[in-house]
Amino acid sequence: MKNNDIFNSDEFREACEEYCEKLAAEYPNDGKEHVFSEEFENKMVELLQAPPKRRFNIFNTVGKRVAVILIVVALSMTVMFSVKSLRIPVIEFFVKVYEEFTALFVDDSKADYSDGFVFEPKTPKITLDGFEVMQERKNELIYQLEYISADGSRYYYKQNLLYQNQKINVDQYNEIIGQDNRKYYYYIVDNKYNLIWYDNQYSYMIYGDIDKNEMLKIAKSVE
Amino acid sequence: MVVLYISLLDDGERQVSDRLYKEYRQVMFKAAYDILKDASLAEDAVHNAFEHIAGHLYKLSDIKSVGTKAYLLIVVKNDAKKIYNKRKPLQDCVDITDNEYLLPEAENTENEVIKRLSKQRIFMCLSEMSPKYRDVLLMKYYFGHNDKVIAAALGINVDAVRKRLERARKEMTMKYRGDDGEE
Repeated sequence: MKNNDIFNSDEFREACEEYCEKLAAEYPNDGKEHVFSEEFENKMVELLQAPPKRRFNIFNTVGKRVAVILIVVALSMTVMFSVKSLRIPVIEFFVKVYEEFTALFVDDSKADYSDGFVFEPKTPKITLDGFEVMQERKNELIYQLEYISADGSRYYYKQNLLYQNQKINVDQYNEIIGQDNRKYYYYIVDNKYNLIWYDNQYSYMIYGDIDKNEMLKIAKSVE
Repeated sequence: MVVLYISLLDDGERQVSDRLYKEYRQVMFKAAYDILKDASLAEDAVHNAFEHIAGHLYKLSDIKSVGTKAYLLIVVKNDAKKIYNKRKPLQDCVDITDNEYLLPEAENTENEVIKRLSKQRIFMCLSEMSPKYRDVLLMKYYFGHNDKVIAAALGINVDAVRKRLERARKEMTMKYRGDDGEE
């Protein structure tokens, strides 16, 4: 018999049985009976009538608590996502967070905004054929141009002032090196391109109903 | 429904406790008294034993069986030994060592003829080994209790049960192999 088999063997079981019989035989049930003290009897009545601990054990372990919490969370999520009025704000929240964080800025901006700094709008030197400037917006932080064509197509050019030490996260973007050796980044939302680039003081963005090459052409004309 | 089921379990367990208590309190007392030589302390040992096995009594399905009786004796002896050892410094008496629990029958089993039979060899190993190791082996492999139930019955923690089981298996294996050389 191998060592590991001893404890699960019939022989082991029979030997245990024999041992128990001999142990039990040492203390026969008959014979002189002890008269238990009143204090002992009271204690035993109290003990035997006490509710078993098992009921409490249903909830008293860490594993069970974690399981209950997970079930509650899962049920809450199920209920929440089955109700449209609750589901939409949650989805919008996640989309908004995703978009915000994918548009965050990465490299340290070396912008210098000491006294006397003036926002200098940089206008693209070219306008795509068929488009004309419909609206121009400008303040100390932003410069924006909205272009529109006869068929209603639009595109936008935006120039934003970078914050000092602002970081740009371009991880989610595709990188292109333009013919002017400038780094451009783009991403696509709803089949529309968004092109971004930046220098020490400004970030620039072109987006709308035009393709990537047209955007690059416009971008190149911004100096 | 669940509450009803639990209350039925509670009632069932209470009945088992009552019956076990009425059936075995005398023998449990005797076993404890043999160790403690004091009626009041022996009563405490019986009380402690029932306190330790409360909540697990449903595992003792056959109240009249020899196994149930042996199980209760193992638990009460363990409790009696604990009480004895706690009072030891006050009593200035000889320590109760594990060897004092050896069954008298153990010597009879040291017979060259039955040594060669596996069952008898295992029985002899059980009889010779330390009671604390023998108790956990019996509870684990004969009564089929899990570590948590054993820990509650013996009044020790689960880690101590696992450690004790590991040592018990080792001791049993060594004794078993030692009797007959290489298997």
